[in-house]
Amino acid sequence: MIIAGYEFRNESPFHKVYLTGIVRDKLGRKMSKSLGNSPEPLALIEKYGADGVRMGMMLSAPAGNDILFDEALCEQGRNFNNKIWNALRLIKGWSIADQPQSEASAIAIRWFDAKLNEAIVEINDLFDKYRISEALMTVYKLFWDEFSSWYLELIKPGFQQPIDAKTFDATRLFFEKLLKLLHPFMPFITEELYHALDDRDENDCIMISLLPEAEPFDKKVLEQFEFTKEIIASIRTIRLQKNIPNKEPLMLQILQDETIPFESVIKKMGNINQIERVDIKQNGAASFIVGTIEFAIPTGSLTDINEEIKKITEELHYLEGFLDSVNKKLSNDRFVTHAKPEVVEMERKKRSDAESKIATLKATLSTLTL
Amino acid sequence: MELNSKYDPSEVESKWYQYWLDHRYFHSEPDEREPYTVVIPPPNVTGVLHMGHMLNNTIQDILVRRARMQGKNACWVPGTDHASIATEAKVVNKLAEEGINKNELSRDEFLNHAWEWTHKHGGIILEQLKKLGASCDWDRTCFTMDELRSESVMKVFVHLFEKGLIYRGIRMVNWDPKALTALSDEEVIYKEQQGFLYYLRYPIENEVGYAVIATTRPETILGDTAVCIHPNDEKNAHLKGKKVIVPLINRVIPVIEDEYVDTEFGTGCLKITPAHDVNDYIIGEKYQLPIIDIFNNDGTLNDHGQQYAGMDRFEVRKKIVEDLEKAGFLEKKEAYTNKVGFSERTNVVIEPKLSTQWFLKMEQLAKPALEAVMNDTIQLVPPKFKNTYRHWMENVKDWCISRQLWWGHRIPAYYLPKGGYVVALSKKEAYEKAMKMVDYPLDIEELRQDEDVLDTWFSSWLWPISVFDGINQPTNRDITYYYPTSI
Repeated sequence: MIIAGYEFRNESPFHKVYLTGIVRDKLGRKMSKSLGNSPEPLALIEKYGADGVRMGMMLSAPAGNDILFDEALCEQGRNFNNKIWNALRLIKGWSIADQPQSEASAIAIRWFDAKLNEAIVEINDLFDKYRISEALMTVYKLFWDEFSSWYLELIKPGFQQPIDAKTFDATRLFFEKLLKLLHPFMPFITEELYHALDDRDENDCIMISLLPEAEPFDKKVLEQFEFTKEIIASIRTIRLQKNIPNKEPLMLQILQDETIPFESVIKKMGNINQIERVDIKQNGAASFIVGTIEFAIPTGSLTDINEEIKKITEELHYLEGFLDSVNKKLSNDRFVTHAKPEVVEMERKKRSDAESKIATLKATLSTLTL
Repeated sequence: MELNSKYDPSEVESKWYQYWLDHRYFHSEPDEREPYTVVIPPPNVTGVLHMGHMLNNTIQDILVRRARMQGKNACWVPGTDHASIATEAKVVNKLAEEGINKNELSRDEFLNHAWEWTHKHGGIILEQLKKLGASCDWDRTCFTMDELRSESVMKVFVHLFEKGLIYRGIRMVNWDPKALTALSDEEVIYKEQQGFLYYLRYPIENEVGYAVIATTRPETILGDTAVCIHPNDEKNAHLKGKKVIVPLINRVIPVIEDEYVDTEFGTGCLKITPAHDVNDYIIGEKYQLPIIDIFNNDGTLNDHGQQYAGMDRFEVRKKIVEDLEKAGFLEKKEAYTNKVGFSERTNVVIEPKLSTQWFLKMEQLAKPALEAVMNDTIQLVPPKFKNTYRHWMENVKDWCISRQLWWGHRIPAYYLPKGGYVVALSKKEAYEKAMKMVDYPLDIEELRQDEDVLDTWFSSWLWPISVFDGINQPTNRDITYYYPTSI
């Protein structure tokens, strides 16, 4: 074609040649009829939807490298479709009220606006380099990790509560921009949801709309929000470790007199009822460091220390009694020599488990009784 | 609009695709916006979608949809190619199932069957692309054998012929003895095969003693016209300047010397069969050796095969080994693995064969195409393929463009009753040209058009130009606007 271009038009027929690799199965074998490892494309579309299959192909296709096709990727594509669908269902389920916007929502909008524009710049750059799979990954993460997991959680009104109009409008606009960014990859669901989002004129279709352009964005707000995310992640880790349910509000202490951004976000996402500055952390408080700042969560206040000591002491008693009986069995020669080896092994395991639990409880007890 | 609790792709997908079609959102006409043109690499007209197409077309659709949403005038032209050999093979098989032999049909009758088949099965693949969401401008759908595309192919053939770049010549080609056509190198698949290396004795003329040669194809000794040794090979030095006798058929052939011979292979003494081996053909040309073609087109032996005439090539291999052994000409045989070429379509062993074919000289044509990539006028994505591309373009051989088939663009060469030929767009034009050449009375019906068709690639390579009718009308509005394409 290039040769003919020069001979008959005196110029090349194209500026760029995009070379795709060979489609292989997940074991790296070339797909062929005789191996029977080549899925029937229309059956895949039937099963996962065209958008799901398109996404499955692209998730496995860096330019020019052979692609390792795995049907699970189409499933991932379909799941993503469902994720987008459900996100819009959630938003459309909210009632709108004339009420002031919360500080957390205002911050969420500021932050996501910057995040979205940062992503648009990145996507444009990736398309310029024909790194199409990576561009898709960028939109995918933007939607799933940032928009769904953070933004929507932040602005989500309480159960059966309305949302303020300002936040709702911003959210709808974000959603529309996300749909546009997704449209080239998954044309069908985006068109459907574009129309579900708003009443449209006959010729107002996403496929002939214009992509959102990258606007200048506030890098500082992005940095600050990442910092905030780390704090929230640490709070969640402590809740897990200490077995404190999410619905139980906690207090967050900041050591030294440091200011931190977005306290309202931390309060909402970490279920923190109070943030205070202290010089030294309380005994029994869990602590963590983000950047150079140390934080503490006094968990002792939640549970009466004496109550806690009593609970631990009781458990220690029980375990020590249990360990005693296991030790008796194991010191009985008849048992050790006549019982089945796996039964003996089981008793030995009980012994070591009990011993380590006792050690942990004793350590906890010693910090509580300091 | 209310959303169902669950997303149902099939309903949504067919609804919107139809909506987009009805509102002609895929259609493009030249205007003042920047064009973004993509021309589909044409799949076989009777083919079906496979995963490679899925990937390819998903990428094209992503780029086209994005360009459209960037405000560009996006135009994605779909189409199919006629896949000369693949389609003809399918039609031949289908006719065979109905008890019809292709050879009993006239060319026109066969072509009627082929068109019928194309209309019945053609375009399925394009319908499948719609399911994938491909936003092609279906109003512009092309076929390599539709009227405008065929006209383009003919014009290009005449143009290149008049420029002296197309010639008719005898060359070694990859012959498919089942499909009865020449194949391009790309249509041959090499596989390792277990066979034998036979050591054969060629008596020296008027002397006691032998030249011992090693070959994997003992049946081809019937076409031997020389034996070749390396000039510095001491173990075969006694053969220098002698003549040897081809066993069984008693043909006397010379011993020649050439540095091409690998002294480490077999005995270092090589039989030369110019009609049936590419390398032997080159040596044959160098030393002006006679060429004895022992095969018919279907792989049986012709009269040069003497007592083996009419037998199949593989039967002859068995029989001749027995005969050589009985007569004491077989010194030994060794198990041997070599690479054998098979036809991609019919899966039979390819026979290197000399035949008269049409060729396109590539060297001069390839130069600007190589430069364009090397100086980045054309960018390869990813760029690591640049070296592969250079290797192709620097080693490009003259392209055998004729195929001994009926389904395709028939070569526009017309033979004169007393020898010679003319190349023209139509029979009428050919007649006018011929009248100026001959000094004898000539009737238009005495002109005989070449029976062969062109390689499918001879139409595919024009595709980005011909879909906009840029060959026939080089300055039309579409070609000036949409060409060159974007990717």
